[in-house]
Amino acid sequence: MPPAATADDPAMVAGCRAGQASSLEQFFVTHVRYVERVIARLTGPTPDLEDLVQTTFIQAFQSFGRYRGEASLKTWVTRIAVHTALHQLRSGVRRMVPLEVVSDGDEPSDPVATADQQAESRQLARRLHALLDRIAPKKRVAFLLYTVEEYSIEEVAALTEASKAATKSRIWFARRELMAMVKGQPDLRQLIESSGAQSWR
Amino acid sequence: MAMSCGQAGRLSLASAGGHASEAERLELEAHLAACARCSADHAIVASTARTLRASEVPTLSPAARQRVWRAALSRRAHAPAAPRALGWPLAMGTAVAMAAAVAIWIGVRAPSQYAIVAGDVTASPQRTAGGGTTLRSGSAKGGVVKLADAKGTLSPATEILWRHEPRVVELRQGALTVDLDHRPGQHFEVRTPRFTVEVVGTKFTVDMRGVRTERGKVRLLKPDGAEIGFLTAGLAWTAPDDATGAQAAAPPAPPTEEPAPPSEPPAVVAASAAPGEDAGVRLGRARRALARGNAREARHLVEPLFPLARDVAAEARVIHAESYLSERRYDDAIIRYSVVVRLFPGTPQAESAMFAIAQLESEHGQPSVARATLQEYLARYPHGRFAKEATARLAQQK
Repeated sequence: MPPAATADDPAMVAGCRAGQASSLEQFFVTHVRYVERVIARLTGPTPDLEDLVQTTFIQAFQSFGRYRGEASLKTWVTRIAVHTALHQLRSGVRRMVPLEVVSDGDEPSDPVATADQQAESRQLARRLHALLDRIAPKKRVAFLLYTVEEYSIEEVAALTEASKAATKSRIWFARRELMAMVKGQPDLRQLIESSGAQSWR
Repeated sequence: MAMSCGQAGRLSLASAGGHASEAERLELEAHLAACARCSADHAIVASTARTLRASEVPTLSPAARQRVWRAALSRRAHAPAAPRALGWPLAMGTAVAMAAAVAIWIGVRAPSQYAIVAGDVTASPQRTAGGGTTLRSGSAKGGVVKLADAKGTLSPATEILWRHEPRVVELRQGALTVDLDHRPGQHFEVRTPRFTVEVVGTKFTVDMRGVRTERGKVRLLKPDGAEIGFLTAGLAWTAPDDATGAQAAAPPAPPTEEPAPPSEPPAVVAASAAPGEDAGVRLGRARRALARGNAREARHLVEPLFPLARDVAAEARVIHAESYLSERRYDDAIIRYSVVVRLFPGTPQAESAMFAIAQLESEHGQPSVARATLQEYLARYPHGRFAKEATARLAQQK
């Protein structure tokens, strides 16, 4: 599940609205890693991650005057991050070589998995990202938020500023397109099966 | 009631995303046990979700986070005040053309003699009105000369006319780097028939197409003395396209006894020229578009070059950053300069870009952020081209 939003410190919120550097820094430190994660999930490996995170926070810092407190700051900044990722995906500029990124220390790789299994998993992830690149950005983002980031339909709809019906439709069609592409690649299908895909969540 | 395949598909998605209840999962499992097609489909969805969820998520390095923070904070503090610096490429438009000769006037009392310090440089007296001495560097090797208090570095195949009264250097071809330490009351002026560059203690390179300031700051003036803007250390300006053909409008070059050697490509451009002609031509077009004030066209021209070879891409990224600068979009320029720093470490472009970031941060109300950038610059480039300037600026802030 996406991390639960905690109550925001009213003093920090007020400081951010006033443009106080200390409050903005607190906001930044609190949320930057999550923003990185969301963007990286939605766009896939990209050397533009820094630019996208930067764009997100620039927009956030410039928009605090319009933040009404109806959603948590985490939800609010996630929405901006989703829009930033969507914009990037729509632009069609995709560069797949990650630069100056480090693995997330919070997510250690599976210690039980063998090196071969890890390599196979990475290969599968790369190929899935390549397939996702062929799905329209709105559908891709809705699908990933729902199935990978585990946001509910309502949350995905709110993050993407779409109706629930449109969100459901996007997720469904993304699934359908993904299915068709996987089925068209027998070796990938075999890779998926060998990765233990039959296991239940 | 039996579940349809459509319902199973939707429940499969919900299950993959962790949204299905235990009862729904059992119901789905029952359907999948009896439907091979849905079972295979579910395997794909579940595996996709699980694989992507388990895949390593790239995150930013601490240094990158620091850059993001600084850029975001800078943006927060941005005030749409009238730009003091570097809005001028836009204002220049086509009004400014590059002359065939650049005059450098050293307006202080200084030794009048020149001296050839090093390299392949020959000197011959100028016998036309005005006098002076013609200094030429060889076509294969440049040289270093002393011109009053200034140190001049001639690129290969460069020709200058040095007049000690009133201490004017006319650049006829090639490229000249002038290095002059700051002294109270001392200044340079770089003159052309169409514009003047005023300097106070600096190091800068002038070629037939433009200027790049390595240290200090130069002020650009129109011929009538009206201020156009400033060019701070690490930044460059290239003359508009029509300047290339402006030779006829330039002051006639004094006659020489032998044909002038072929013109050296501008040093600023040559330093980062693309190996392929097409890329080089495109970079040149972008530079000229930028000089005309057409930032969008410049961006359009350089963006396809980003995936190319490192030297081409680095220069393209620099032009990209400068395009935002010319539009007075300082925060956007900082972001793009940051890209240069990040993607092309170890290149002259990255070094210049980092110092340009510090300049922009400093000039737009972010002294503490600029200070951090300057410190980072000095950590990376302790003997860099702008190390002296960075150290001085840090000392001023103490």
